[in-house]
Amino acid sequence: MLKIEGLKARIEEKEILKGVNLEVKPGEVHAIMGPNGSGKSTLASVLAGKDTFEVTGGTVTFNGKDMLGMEPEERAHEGIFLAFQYPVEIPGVNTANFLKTALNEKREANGQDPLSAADFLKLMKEKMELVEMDKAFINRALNEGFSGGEKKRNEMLQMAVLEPTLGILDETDSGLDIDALKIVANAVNKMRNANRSFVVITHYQRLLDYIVPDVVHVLQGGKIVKSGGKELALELEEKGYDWLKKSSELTV
Amino acid sequence: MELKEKFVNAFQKFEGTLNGDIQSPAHAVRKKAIQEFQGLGIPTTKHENWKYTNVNQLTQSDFSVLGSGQNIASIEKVIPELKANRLVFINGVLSEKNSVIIDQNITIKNLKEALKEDNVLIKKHFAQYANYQKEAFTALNTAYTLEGAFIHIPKGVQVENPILIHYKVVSDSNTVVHPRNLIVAEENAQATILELFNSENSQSTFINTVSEIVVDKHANIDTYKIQLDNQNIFNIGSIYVHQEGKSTYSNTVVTLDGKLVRNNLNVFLNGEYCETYMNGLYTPSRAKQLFDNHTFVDHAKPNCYSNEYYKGVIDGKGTGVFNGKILVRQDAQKTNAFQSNKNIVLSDDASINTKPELEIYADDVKCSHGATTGQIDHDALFYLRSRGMTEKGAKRMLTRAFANDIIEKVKIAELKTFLEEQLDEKLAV
Ligand SMILES: Nc1ncnc2c1ncn2[C@@H]1O[C@H](COP(=O)(O)OP(=O)(O)OP(=O)(O)O)[C@@H](O)[C@H]1O
Ligand SMILES: [Mg+2]
Repeated sequence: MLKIEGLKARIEEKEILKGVNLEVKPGEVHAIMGPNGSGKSTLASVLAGKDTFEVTGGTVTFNGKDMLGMEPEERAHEGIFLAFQYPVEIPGVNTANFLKTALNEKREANGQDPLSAADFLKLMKEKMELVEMDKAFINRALNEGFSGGEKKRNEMLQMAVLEPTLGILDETDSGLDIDALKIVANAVNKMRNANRSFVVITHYQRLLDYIVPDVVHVLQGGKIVKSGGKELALELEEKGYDWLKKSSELTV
Repeated sequence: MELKEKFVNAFQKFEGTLNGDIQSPAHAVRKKAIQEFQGLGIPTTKHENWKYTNVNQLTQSDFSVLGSGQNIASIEKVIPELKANRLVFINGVLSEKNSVIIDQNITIKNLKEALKEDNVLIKKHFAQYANYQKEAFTALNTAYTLEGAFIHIPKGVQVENPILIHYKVVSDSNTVVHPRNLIVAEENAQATILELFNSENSQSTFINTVSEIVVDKHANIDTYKIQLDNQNIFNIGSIYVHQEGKSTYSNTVVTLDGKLVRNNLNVFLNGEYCETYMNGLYTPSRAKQLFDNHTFVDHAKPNCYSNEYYKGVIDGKGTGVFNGKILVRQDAQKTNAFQSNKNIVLSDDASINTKPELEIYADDVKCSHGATTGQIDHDALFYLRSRGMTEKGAKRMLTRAFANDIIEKVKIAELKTFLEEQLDEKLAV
């Protein structure tokens, strides 16, 4: 489904991704962990098509198509969704109105008819129940004045409505209370199926108790330095990242 | 012949059309005004108040300066769902057929009629606030004053329905009109007055309006100025507001189309505890399209509050100008005056000149002003696109969101919906 090979990216003169390799197969959940500033959000942004980062090398294919040449909206239409670590507040843009426009543009790009207002409302109602979000939120301006946890839940609502084939969750668990964490995990688990994959970026093994990953990777210094099963997350929780740095330096 | 000379020379001919009216006190004012106009001349960019707004295109147009407008019997009603008192001026002349007055306890009529009468309100207020001694276009309007709205809201009357003044020039020749309004709201009166321009002349048109608005003690007047003229229309207008103690005045101007648009809003606060709100939205986008708002609030008395909020969306090759002056006189202690002007510039060829001017002579005041000019927020744009919105659609949504807080100020529901539609249409191109 997603294949990243030797991906390098920089911002201004600073190289951040230094050759990332990652393959995600349909139905898999991959967790990415790693110290602050190691490039996790950069990787997520590059995958979603943010042009402030310059890709200087490598390839990314999604379902066999070259993704790096695509506009962000084309990637969304192909089925990529990024839940942002820091969702932006957009005053004046109504959440429901925006989501309806986005969904219908995606549907149109995929040759589907747009949803009617009534069908959209029905869909929203169902998805809001899934993420246990109060309906007052969707009539507010997008993320404006939302608490940290509410913003994250709004990301999950959008993901549930847009039904991507690859969901990238960038620290969706950060700042969530334990109940909210369970709700988010539950939403992801309900969406899990044989054709839908997830990349979950997190600092905490706790999330992975709820969303059980198939593979855990460690991104450090712009590279994936270690991959393993879900036990790796436990090991990281216990030992931190320093030991990896030493061992990866040794192997170079 | 230069445009100025044309206007000066045609004045006698204009007098000839006034019949017996030339004995009236108002006519003495007209004569004084044409003299003033002759002395002032049409401003150039050397004039401080016209530094960024070049009226060359206007002066170079070949206008026939006297009533060349054709007779048009009927025009399309604007915002038909809005229940309102309507005064419709077609080619500068009041069209009785298209006008309707539904509220009973007020006077709404053609200024022309009021000028003919021995009217105490005319004597007391006409040309008392409009600065025809200093401002050329106001002098020109005053000299050629004839048609316009005369509105009198007696003491304590709350006008139930809005009063809509609709100006339309539909012609295929170069046309000049000088609508002149006088609005007098007595103590505790309340009314909403809406001016709407949507001229469609295929030739150059010069609409030169002046409104004088008197807001007596405790009165509350809301005005709106909606400008949707086509790309041949020069629309220059001045509003002079005179507020007495504890009165409230608010104006919202929305300029979505036109060629060269200049709006002057002058508010004089002559009593304590007045409140003044000034809101504006302007969206120039075409080549040679320039929308200019000049506001001036004169805090002459203590304890008043003024709040100004103007926003510009500048696209294509459009130009925006904002100049907001706040004067706080020495007596005007405890003044609260706020001003904000925000612009987004959507293209490399678009430009905006914004200038706040604060002149404060009192020491116990709260005043603030700020002007910002920026582009569409990159992160917000990426956010929307990452959800599948096209770049164009996302930009439009963000632009619309930016403009939204001005539209939100509109208190007439039908007008708000109308403006939302107009704005969506405008941003869709
Ligand atoms: N716009 C930018 N300008 C300059 N440097 C940037 C920019 N964005 C990211 N960086 C730098 O790139 C590096 C990687 O940042 P990134 O956000 O990808 O880290 P991260 O792994 O997600 O960290 P965290 O765990 O704290 O979220 C950091 O050193 C960061 O300062
Ligand atoms: Mg991050």
